[in-house]
Amino acid sequence: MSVPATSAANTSRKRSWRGETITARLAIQVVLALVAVLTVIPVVWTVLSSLKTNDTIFSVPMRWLPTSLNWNNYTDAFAVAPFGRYFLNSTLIAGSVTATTVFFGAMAGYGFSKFRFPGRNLLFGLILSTFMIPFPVIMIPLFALVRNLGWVNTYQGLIIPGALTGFAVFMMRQFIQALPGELFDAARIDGAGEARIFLTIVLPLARPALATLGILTFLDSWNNLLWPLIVIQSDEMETIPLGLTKFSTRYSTNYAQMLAMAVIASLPVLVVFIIGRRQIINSLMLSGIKG
Amino acid sequence: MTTRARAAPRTDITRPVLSLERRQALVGMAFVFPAVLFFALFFFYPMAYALYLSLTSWDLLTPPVWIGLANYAALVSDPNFLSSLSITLRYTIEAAVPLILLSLMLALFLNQRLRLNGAYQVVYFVPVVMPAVVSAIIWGLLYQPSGPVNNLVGIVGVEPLPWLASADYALHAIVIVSIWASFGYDTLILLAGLQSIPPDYGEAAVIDGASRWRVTRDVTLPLLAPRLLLVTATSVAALLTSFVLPYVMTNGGPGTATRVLPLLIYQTGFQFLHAGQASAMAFMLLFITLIFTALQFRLFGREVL
Repeated sequence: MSVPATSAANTSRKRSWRGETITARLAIQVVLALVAVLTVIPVVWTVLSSLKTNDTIFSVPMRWLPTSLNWNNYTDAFAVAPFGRYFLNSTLIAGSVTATTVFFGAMAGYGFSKFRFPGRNLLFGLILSTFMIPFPVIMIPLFALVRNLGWVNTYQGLIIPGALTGFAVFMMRQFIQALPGELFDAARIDGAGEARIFLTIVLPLARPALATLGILTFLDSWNNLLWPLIVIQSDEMETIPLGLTKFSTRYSTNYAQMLAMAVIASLPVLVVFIIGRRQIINSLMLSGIKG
Repeated sequence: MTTRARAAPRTDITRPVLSLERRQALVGMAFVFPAVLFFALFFFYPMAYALYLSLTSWDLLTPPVWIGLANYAALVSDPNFLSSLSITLRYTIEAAVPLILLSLMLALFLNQRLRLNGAYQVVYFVPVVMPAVVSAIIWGLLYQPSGPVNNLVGIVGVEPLPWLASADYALHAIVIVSIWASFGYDTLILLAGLQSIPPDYGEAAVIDGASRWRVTRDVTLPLLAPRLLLVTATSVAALLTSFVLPYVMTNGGPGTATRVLPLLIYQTGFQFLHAGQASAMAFMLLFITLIFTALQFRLFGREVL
């Protein structure tokens, strides 16, 4: 077995591995692009159709492009149902849920990762186990609880039961655990109080994780349907997903307005995603878990 | 405890350390306290209460009446429950298998790091962040008889299909939407798993004369097993509990063709006001979720954890 022969074989095989040539790469590109096209077609059709007149959306033969731009679908929809109010409700609820989830998630994550106390692993294990429990299992008693508290059809009834998730605690614990403990000890020796250490050292250091958690929590809360469906009983308390669902049954043939509102309902989450996409993609790739 | 700790330092040199530890333990408990209180109140208490309710007959209005295991006994021969159970299982398997295979294929392709990689990742992720209600409404219209889906399948020579209007097609139609809505997420997690595998492994096998397919099968996939397990487990759990798509797109219809278990639980509890019965169904759903999770751990081997 001579050395030159082996290394020659290496390079030739290595080349065939690297780019099993142009055909293979082209085939891969075609598949990736085809999937991308199929993925965006529903989105593109939605945006285009939201500008058509109602009777041309399902015209035969089908036309993809609108013949004229009917922006009035957007304004008309706002006149038919109080979408402005739904928007405010969703913003308030998703914003509050995000704030509490991030803050209390960080507090618990710090407590579980940087302190030792009896029962710590048991408590953390119990919180992790909430991952496994489908929401339908607890939704009936949760409704009973909220009703006993007098929170049916209120903001607190929508916000507080969703104010924290096991995922948030888990994610913050993982992140804060990796922070060097010496920083906190040094601050302690300097006489800083525990609350101050948390607010002025832990939170700023955890900012990347807080941002990701905040984005994911906002998306989940904004998109939630089942809990608002159970707790809300009047029009003016409805969130965007609930209002849109009701609109689609009540005015089931107002296609153009329905699609216009679908666009409006997606805009905030798409904007949040586009701004934070690197953040989301990178940290999902690291943690590998979403709530 | 405090008095002893305060008195101790003068007599014993090791005591102050202990008291510092105790103090830190108390601080730690204070930090986790809000979370623990939250989960106790809004999670574990409802869990326990749900278990109790599943043993009662309750109309959400008058006090629950204890009936022991009667709700569970009734489920065994309840045609609604059995049909929903079978629909949920079919839906889950029919969506999960192509979802995982498609995501795996796309992740392997993206891992070749060709052009436009980043753009594809972003595009694939758009349906993941869209509100599920929006996806359901859009697809409800896309599936209309003279809508774009029939228009596109017409291009490849398929006659228009009655997607959501037919009991034979509706579940498949919803399966397609659920795959569309979540493959981007699974692809991303699998791609991350692939990128954490050192490239030398595959290259070493290639030098030994292995084909690309064999390297993928014998080197890459075993190393990817933990991520594959994670993705399968989260996807299956999400599919077993999916509610929004069937609720908004068909409300369980036509007939009961797409009435998945979470939808039946919702209707039984909040529309027919049989909350005890619904709670028993919910525990069966939990049980099924746990069985599926355990099965997957078996399938992928215990060593991955």
